[in-house]
Amino acid sequence: MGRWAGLFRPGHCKARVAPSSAGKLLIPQPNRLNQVRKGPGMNELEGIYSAVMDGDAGKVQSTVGQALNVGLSAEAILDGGLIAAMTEVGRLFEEGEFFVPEMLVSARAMQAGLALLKPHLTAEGIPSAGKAVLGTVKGDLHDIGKNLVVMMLEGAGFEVVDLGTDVTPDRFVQAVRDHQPHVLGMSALLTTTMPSMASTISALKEAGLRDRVKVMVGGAPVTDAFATRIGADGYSPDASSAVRLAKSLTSMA
Amino acid sequence: MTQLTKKERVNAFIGGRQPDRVPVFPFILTQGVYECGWRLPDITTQVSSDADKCAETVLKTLEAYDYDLALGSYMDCFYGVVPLGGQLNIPEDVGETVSAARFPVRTKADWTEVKSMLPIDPWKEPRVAAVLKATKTVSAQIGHDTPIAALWWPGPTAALLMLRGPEALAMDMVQDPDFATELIEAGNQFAIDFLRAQYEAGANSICILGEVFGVEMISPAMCERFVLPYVAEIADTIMKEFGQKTLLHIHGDFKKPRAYPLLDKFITQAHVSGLFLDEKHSPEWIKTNVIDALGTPACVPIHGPNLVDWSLPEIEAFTRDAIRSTAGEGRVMMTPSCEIPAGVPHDNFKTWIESCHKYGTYPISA
Repeated sequence: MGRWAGLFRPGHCKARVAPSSAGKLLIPQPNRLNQVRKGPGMNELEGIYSAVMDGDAGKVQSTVGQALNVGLSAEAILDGGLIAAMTEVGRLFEEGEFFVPEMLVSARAMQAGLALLKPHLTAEGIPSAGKAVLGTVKGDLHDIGKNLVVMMLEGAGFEVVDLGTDVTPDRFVQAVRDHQPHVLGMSALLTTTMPSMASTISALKEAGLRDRVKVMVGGAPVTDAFATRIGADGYSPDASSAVRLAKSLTSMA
Repeated sequence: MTQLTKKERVNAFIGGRQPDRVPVFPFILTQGVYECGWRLPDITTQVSSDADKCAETVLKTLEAYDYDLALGSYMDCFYGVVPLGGQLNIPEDVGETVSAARFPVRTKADWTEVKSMLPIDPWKEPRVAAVLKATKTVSAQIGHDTPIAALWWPGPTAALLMLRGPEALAMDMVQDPDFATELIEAGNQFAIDFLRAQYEAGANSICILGEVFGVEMISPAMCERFVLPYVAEIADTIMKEFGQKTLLHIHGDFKKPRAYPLLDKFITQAHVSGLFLDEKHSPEWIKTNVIDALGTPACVPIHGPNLVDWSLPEIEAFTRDAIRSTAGEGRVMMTPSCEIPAGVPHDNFKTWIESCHKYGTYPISA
């Protein structure tokens, strides 16, 4: 989380957010603000955080720009602004305060800011939290869940390669070969496409790549028992817990 | 007890009376295509469908499995997409389903033109007209004693399937709720027109509404704003025009304290006569919290993937226990958790149905 960890540590920032309703999201009021000595860039980080929580992509971009202009490092902006906000989004989702629409809106706003930051992160040589390759399996065109996981992982500092939908086992294998990710994530919304997950794991074994990547699976019909049966390394029921799982698997990889 | 016809059996269920046997609704859509040995391109294209084949999927599965509540035709979920400027994905492989490759309203700027093409006349849109023609055929052959439900999706689900896609509509609900409302109203109007046409074509039983957003994807507050009134509009219209009750199939975990009160609102405000929840609700929970607490008939689901993966003894045991714990006083219909999976093995399907019949005959043994 970098040098800003003490300011935006997950769980220390108790945002007070009313249950979402149709319309504009309410801006959270972090408690710890009163305890932080104001310094250069703090207003900008708070602005980024609030804009992500509010799902305001334009404001995220402008405040990221302002933060860069006042001299904040890209790492600080990523950790203290974007990642901090997305961690809170994940927490609110798991507590039943945020739902899919709110997550999507915040995640898209975060992505808008991340797009501005990426060249600066590269220039600073900031390593990612890990690399993940994600896709929806062959025969399945559903992607809302997979897209949410992509965005939440990016929001957690992962580098993500999104293969899209209808991804064959061979394409997954090639992507693992090309990108050497820590984690391979597969999503399926149809029970009839779930067998492709097992096929992909078999294909990884045949290619001699199975022990080089951790495999996580998810999607509405997928269960923990299914994941175990096909030899996956983990299962997550939603996008928020997928981030925790990916972090856990990455530390094991 | 005197043996009832299938129509009488389903009427007893939705009317809250004890039938002779627990009715079964397998919610067959794409599975019927594969049951007949076809692939999806054999039955539908981007612009037309084969009405005879659509009818055959119902008649053949009814003969093979002897379930109680039928639909009038094979249907996919994406009627209206192509005439409004979108595109379908019609997969070749067995076990897959039709989906939308491109939705008509990709940006808000597309809406003006798309809106100008609404409403869609179900009898004139070839793929929808095929469903209606199939329903006529099915009704002529089995409608005298078999209940044929009318099926579609209410407002938000209708809008996401026909116009906008799930991700974009979900974001509209937060960022541009007035625009979302316009789309949802258009979707609901198509739902009413299509349901009406199904009854005109020969549907003769309950109206089934399937709601994807539910509390699975959106908050209870959003569900109350964006789902409840549209379900009410449909249920009231169908009752008024055809005297038929509505069964609401809705996704999401209603065990959560903030979500549970919505179930009562669907009954009391939206005038839904029965609830069809998903696999997140155990049979016992449904019995206690829906059938007994709300006094409403309910479907008791077996999770679709379990129908695919479980052994035959596992399927039979679950079905037996589910019936024994819920159906003693009636007001229960056995279903899968959603549309029956397209790849469910024949023996698994057969075992489930036969178990429903075996253990569901009244009086139900404890």
